[in-house]
Amino acid sequence: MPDQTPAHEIRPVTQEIPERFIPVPTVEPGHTFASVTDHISAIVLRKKMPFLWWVGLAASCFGVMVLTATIGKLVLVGVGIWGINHPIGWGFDILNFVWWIGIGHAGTLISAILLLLRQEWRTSINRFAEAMTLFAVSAAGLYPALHTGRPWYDFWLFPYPNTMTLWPQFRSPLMWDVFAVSTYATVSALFWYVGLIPDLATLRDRARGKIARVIYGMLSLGWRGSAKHWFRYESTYLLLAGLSTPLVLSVHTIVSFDFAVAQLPGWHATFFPPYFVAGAVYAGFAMVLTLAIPARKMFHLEDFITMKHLENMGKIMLATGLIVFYSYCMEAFFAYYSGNNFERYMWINRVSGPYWKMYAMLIICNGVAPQMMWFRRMRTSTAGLFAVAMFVNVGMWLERFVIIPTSLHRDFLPSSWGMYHGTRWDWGMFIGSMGLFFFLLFLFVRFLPMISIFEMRTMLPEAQAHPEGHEA
Amino acid sequence: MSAGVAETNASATGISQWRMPSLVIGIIGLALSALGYFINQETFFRSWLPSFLFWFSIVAGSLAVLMLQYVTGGEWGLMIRRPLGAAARTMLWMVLFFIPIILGMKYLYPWSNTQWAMADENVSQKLGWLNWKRFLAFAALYFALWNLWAWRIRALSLSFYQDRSPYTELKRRKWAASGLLMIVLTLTFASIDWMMSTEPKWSSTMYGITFVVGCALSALAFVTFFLTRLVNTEAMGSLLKPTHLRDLGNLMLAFVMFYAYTTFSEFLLIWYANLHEEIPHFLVRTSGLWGAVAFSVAMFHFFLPFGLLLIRPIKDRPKTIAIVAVIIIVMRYVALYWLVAPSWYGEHFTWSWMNLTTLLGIGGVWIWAFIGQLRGQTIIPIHETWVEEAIREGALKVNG
Repeated sequence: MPDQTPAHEIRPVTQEIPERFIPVPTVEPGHTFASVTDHISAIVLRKKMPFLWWVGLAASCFGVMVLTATIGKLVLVGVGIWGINHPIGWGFDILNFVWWIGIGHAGTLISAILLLLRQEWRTSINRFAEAMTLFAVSAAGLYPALHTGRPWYDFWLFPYPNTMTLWPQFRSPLMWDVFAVSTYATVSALFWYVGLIPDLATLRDRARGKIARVIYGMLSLGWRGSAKHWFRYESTYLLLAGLSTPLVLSVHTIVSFDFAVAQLPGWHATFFPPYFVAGAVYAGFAMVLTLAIPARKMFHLEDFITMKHLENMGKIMLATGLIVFYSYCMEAFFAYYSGNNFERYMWINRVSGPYWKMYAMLIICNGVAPQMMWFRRMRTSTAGLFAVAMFVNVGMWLERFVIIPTSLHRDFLPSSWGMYHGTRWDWGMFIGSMGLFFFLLFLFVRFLPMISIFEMRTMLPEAQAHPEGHEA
Repeated sequence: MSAGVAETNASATGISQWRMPSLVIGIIGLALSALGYFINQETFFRSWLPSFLFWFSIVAGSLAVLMLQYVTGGEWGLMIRRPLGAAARTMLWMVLFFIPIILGMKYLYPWSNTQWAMADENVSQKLGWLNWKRFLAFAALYFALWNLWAWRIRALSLSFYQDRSPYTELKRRKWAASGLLMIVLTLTFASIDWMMSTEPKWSSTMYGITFVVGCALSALAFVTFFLTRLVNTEAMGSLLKPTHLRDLGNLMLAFVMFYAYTTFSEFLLIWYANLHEEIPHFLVRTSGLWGAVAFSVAMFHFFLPFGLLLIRPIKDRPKTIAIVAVIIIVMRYVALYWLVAPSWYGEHFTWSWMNLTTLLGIGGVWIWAFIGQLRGQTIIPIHETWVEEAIREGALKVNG
């Protein structure tokens, strides 16, 4: 029986909207074009950095020194200083590579995909997230480059005519990685830089010191804000967004191929590409939240990074977290359904083998913790969001640990089973890469506007005064 | 003079006139299929399953896309909420159309032959899953959940029209959010049960994701085609703007790409690893005429719609986007047939007239039921807050 819709009367606006249904703005009220420009550019040009920034810079600088020492030792001695050995030839190096590359996904996702989807709330976080992407990709790139053992020969990875008749093995997904990651890094850097140009010009115009004026002037490439400049800027930015979108998806797809083309249980699973992409977005958003929440507080940016942004990021984290958890469930189900003893053992070993604690923690961090995001109270609490984001950061690292060493350490032949533990050099490299990431990030917030000034101005009600078709 | 939203009432749009012809075609199709049953039971059941899956994918996809629309909001749902809701509520008919699958299990699912299953080294390991009791119990559970969500969302929409409370709207959004979780999980396991287990020794973790994406694509192509049929009517002609169709075109483009992404990744990984327990699936499906079907899926399920949907004027015009939607709808059936039929027929391409009669039989009755669900409603959801706001602001009118 078809049911009938009630009569079509249009109700009068008499209802009072309860507070929780009043939309949270993307920019807090009371701002003008000038106040937005002042507030954001002053962080770079006028204000002294807060004490916590100095503490962070010093700590990350220490991390960079640890990284330098680790790389020095590695170059002198070789990859033998790492914990990799038979049967685990891939350990922290590939694990941390995947972890960092995953984190490097949110920036371009926020900038490009959310731009194409016309999601205006991206505006106050895109610059920050793009910078994070670049620094995460830089940290990621260290690992495969050093894992070759002789990084000074890494240029052999590129196809170039040479007298040794060396040619890369294009059938290997590791080669595909070289091109995917380098293309992604190049386009992300271009996208970030192009987006910065109008703001660099603002800094040039507002800088008091001569050196700053010259440097920002050179970086702003002669931007004058003419109609032609804006037209070219918009076209380029959209074009780069279009280019970046497939790249975001392709990078982690190809990273997943590194594992999935193998015949190893735990690696060879056809759903790895979307599973890895979802995991990357999940990790990326968690890291954006991890950084945005303290930065918002430290630089008093609550008016620009509002609860709406944080809540939306919490929702995306929940959605992608559910996809990741779906993948864990499918992994378990298909281990059984495959009817293959090796596949089944792989899963049993994950759950109850020597690394069971890692798996249990993984489920808590990536499976249970993000479920908190179902609750609005948690999504609108900075402490709650920060805590869940930290769980996810750890969880995504554990996920890669569970996939990589846990699948490798007990394969088809029990006589070749073994255990894997990272050495102090492995940990040193990991801490060092974090140091590099944060060091670059601290420098970024000091020298460049962490929020897009001109895009924020377009978010103000004044900018919307004459919408299309409603000319005054 | 432009028409008002109240005039987009289903009967005013003229769609009711398609109802009886659909039913007649459906009954003729079912009668011929019944005749086929007496001629060759095996062919009948093996024709029924792909036809069922094709129409089911539209229904299930409609429920999924509808819930996605309630969760995310967005103008892309303005014109399709009602048709999607109507399609989702025909899930009860799908229960009826599922009955022949239960009756024909022995022709469709080799594991239902217990002797064979117990003797097989691989299949005997998973009899806990591949047994008829669990198969039926889970099918009942899936249908119960799908129907529950389809009707619960409808009930919440109706109460929202009465009380206009944001809390009711919130409740509907919560149901939709949890429903998305439910439908992804249930469709995954339904695809394993109903499709993948036609080849009980083979498994692929991507299968469920591909099926879910395919369902959403079927639903989007169907509602797009449906809307283009309304554009010539006075009521809808002035209300359906190129931007509405463009949004749907973009969504179809996204799902066309997503489907290609999942299927190609699955193919690439299985081809690359070349494992003896996995590769036969694709060896069979790429040999002989099946290979030609596979090629047509690549061409017309991906490359052609992908290319066409990149062109804005094609998305904006009802006539051209209707052609793209039809290409996708036809290819959805071809892709589903290519996935299941080689499991029974091996390398020999097989096609029977019963494939057509079952397709028309189920489809005719289904379209009749679908239009029946739309009766008494306007195509545009007139009571939704944002439609009312548009009416108050003068962007839309109630009556022309």
